[in-house]
Amino acid sequence: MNSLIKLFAYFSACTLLPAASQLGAQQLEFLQQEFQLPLETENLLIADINGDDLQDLIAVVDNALQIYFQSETGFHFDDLSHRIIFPGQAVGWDLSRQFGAAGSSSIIALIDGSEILAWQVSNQSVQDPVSILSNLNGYLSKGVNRLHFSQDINGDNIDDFLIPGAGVINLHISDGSKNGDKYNYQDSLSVRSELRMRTNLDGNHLERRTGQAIRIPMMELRDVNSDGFDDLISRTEEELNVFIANKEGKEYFSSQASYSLDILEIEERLGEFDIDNLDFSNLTGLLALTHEEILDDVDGDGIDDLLLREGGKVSLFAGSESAMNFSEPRQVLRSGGNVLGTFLQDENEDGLKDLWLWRVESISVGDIFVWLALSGSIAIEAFIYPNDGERFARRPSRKLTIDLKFPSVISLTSTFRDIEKEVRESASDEEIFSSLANLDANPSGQDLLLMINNQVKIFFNSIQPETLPEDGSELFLGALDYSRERDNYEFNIRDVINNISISGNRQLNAVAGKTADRIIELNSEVTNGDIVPVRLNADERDDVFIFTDTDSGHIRGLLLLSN
Amino acid sequence: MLLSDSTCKLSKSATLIAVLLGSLAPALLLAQSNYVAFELERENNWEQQLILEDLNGDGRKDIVHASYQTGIGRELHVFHQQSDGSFSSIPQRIEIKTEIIAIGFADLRPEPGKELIMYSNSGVFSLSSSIEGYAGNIKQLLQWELIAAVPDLEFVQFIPDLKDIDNDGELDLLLPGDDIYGFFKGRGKENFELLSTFSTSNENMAAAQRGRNNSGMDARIGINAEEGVVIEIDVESDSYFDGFIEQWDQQEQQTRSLLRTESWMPTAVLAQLNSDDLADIAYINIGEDGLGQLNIHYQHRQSGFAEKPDWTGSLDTSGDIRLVDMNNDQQLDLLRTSGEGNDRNAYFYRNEMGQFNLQQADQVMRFSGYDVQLNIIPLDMDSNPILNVSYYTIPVVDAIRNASINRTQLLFGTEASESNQFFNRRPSSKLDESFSAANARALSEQMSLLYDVDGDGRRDALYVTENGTLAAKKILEDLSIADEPFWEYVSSRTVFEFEVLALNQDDKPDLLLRHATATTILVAAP
Repeated sequence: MNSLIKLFAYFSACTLLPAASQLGAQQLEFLQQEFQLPLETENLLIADINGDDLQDLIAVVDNALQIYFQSETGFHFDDLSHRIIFPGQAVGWDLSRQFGAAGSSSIIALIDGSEILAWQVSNQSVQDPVSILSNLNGYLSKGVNRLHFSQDINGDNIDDFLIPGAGVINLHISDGSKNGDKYNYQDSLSVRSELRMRTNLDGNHLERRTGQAIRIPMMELRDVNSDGFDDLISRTEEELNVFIANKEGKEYFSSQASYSLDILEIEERLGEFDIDNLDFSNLTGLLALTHEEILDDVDGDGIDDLLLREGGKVSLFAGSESAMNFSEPRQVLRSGGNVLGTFLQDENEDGLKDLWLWRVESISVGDIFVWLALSGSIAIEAFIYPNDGERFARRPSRKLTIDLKFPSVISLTSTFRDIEKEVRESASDEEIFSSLANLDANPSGQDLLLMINNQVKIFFNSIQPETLPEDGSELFLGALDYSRERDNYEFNIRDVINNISISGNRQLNAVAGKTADRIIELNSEVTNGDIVPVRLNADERDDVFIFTDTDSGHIRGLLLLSN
Repeated sequence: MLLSDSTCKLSKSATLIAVLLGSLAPALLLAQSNYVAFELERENNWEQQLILEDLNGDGRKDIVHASYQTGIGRELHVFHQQSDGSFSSIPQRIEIKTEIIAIGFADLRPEPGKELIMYSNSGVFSLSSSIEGYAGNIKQLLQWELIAAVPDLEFVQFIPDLKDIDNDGELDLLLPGDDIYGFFKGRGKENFELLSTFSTSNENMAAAQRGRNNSGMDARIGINAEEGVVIEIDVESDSYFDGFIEQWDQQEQQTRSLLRTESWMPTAVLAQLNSDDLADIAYINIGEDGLGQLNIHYQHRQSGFAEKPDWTGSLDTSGDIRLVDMNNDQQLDLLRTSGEGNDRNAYFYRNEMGQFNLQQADQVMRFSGYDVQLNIIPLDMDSNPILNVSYYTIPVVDAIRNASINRTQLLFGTEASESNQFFNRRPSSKLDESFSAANARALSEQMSLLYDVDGDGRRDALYVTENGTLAAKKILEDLSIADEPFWEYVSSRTVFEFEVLALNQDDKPDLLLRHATATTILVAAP
């Protein structure tokens, strides 16, 4: 556990199951195996790479991949002979089921942006690499990086490749034919991409770290015209481009976007934020400068239409199989007030998505000064424009009012400080680590693992899983206890905060005073601990990595393999 | 003295500011009255640094900033300062090649003026701005694999304050590389020699543990189609193994990122830490005990910096940590401030010949307020520094009655400080100001005691007034701040940030005023 703990407003506290654990759980057996990984191990990827239905481990160690094969007796963590040392300086690696025996996965890597190599695995042996594609115009930063570049884009069950370049992603899509053992690929398509980059080379600040972080967002691939083939949506700060798949043509995507929206032009039309002309009596007036673009099917024909909001103006453009009709919007709606945003959601349960337009009341600088010391409230309104199957009604059929109440900023600061303190104390408490897992394949209850005083204690089926309806009906406005019959709601942030409990503590409270169903004695003192449930074999039960300590050469711990 | 730039409407144009003399006290006449104003409008005024360097060697600093335009790419724009304090209306444009990640400035060539020092992922180059283009101009100074490997195609990093690190009259370079820092000694004539390397990373620590300090909390309120209105509070733990294991499933591949990679190491800071005349290195990492650790490498004239730190000390690294000379002995002491909410503690540690007793602070002070800022400032040339503390308080009664908050300035002298302590226990002066919606513009920037605006050798209290103008008050001998300003500058745009600079050799203070979408440079006119 100790991973991200999400505490949503609508989370109810975990309900405890009856004190008695489920029958049979105590009889569960685990293969206990001590493990040690090189200290340089950056992370572990779990995948079945030789198709034996047993998940193997791929460790990133320095500039190489270390593979630990799983056998019926577990892993041989002392066997470091299965290692892939990549050629080149800049490597992006991924897994693919495309190459090698059925059921197995190959390790594929983009080398220095120019060539894709694949390492197939046979039994417990890594074969020499074979070249899949070369003369590519890609670019990667130095080192060994996880790159999710292998994906079947055109639905032909052959992996296609997304190669990052300078400000673009180059798509290499197979044409289904083969030349010898190699697949043939269509001419590459370059699609603009936004590199999210953070670099610090300023050596004047003792606390800041020096270096660089890079993220290339994945492009959106989904079927926008219901022809059964994924289309490509590329959005940058400057434009929105949609490439409609051409399933019959030589090229799956043409080199030009099927339709584009110039976002820079929209922003120019809306104007720039100017602090010198800011209306201090209506700070929320700044919302008039905001815009949003929603691609979704409004008229129910299965083809995405475009909803464009510019300030309080909402335009609906109709999409066709191969284009978007930008020449004339099908509908334009205008709203006064401070429009926060819009979204599409079926309100009247007729199967068509209705327009929800959200507004917020004016907020002044004076209000903010008062809220520093006193609690306050903001009225948020949702106007619902029903969808008649082609467009939205000219006037809203319903108005929801949400009174958003909140404590003073001082009070919020103090409360958050207390929560952070509690989290920190919980996280820094080296004596106790906890995690939820499913050790006995019983979906009605989760099992709690606690690592305390060099022991791992297991409480079977002690925590009831939180479930949400599959249709998401409870999710939508769940925090408000929403119903179609009610239009006025109150949302009090104070209540939300009061219901926050730190997950670890909540779980500990759940088993307070109870005797563990199983206790595993650890052979080493826990100094750098954590518990991570994973799935390593073909059963429906979790296996568990228990990290205990690190020394100058290794990360150590105990692996519980479900038996 | 009231100055106005109301006539300065045109961007990138120089205007001699009219001086409006009102009923002034005689002392006020000491303040600078005439400025030549230059206004530079930029789309990303806050995202891109503005650099002031003398590139043509005329003794006057020029304005340099990076610009990006689709189809053209990145360029440096240089506005040269003229002899009358104005700047060229059309900038000199210098192409930034796509390989360049960062740019610094240093005088390496015999020709007057500073050259551009350009950093790529594999080396450092010099380029003169006085020669057109790269051909016959660019020169590789050294090869080095920089820690930042990928250039940003729209932005460029600036690396300010390149220094003569070993005090031999030649520029040296301290470069962050692939897990190590390299110290390159300048040998003159654009020659550099790699003298020593050291690592600031925790080599004895698991790769998974390095740089992981994610504990914290984040709260958001959002509106979306899936959940409607939702408040989401994320609490992240600092588990070393958070995200360490990934379960691969081709059908449910992560789709949020094609690539996510990062490479960071603790920053090595150059600082004068012992009694010799050579700058030393300090950085903070995690010791083998899992606690924070301050590391110091002393500089050796012949060999540079040792591979391992010469001195280490265990340190609580929570809060803010700064190296600053608190007692005017020319060796930097250590200040750590930490706290939660409106409680802030300041811990002062004395530098004892390049070492610190980090187990016991020499002085501890506690403050109650929000946005507590500490500045240690020598008010006069070579005088003992004073401590300036500023913070905000929100008295409930005032908030109810007037919807107002208070801002406080405390000045602590040194004359009554106890043995081994740096500053007096009680403030020598206190200034309380009240702000409400009516004068909220004055909150755009804290009052600053860092600058001498009238050039009399003593720092002044510079602040943004409730009208959005910039004004200065005297700091009196008893460390109180004068009631009335002796200087005021009326800008046509709201001032959010200010600096007092020396942009030429006339010894008269010049100013930089940052607005929302523009920056005004005020050069003192004769």
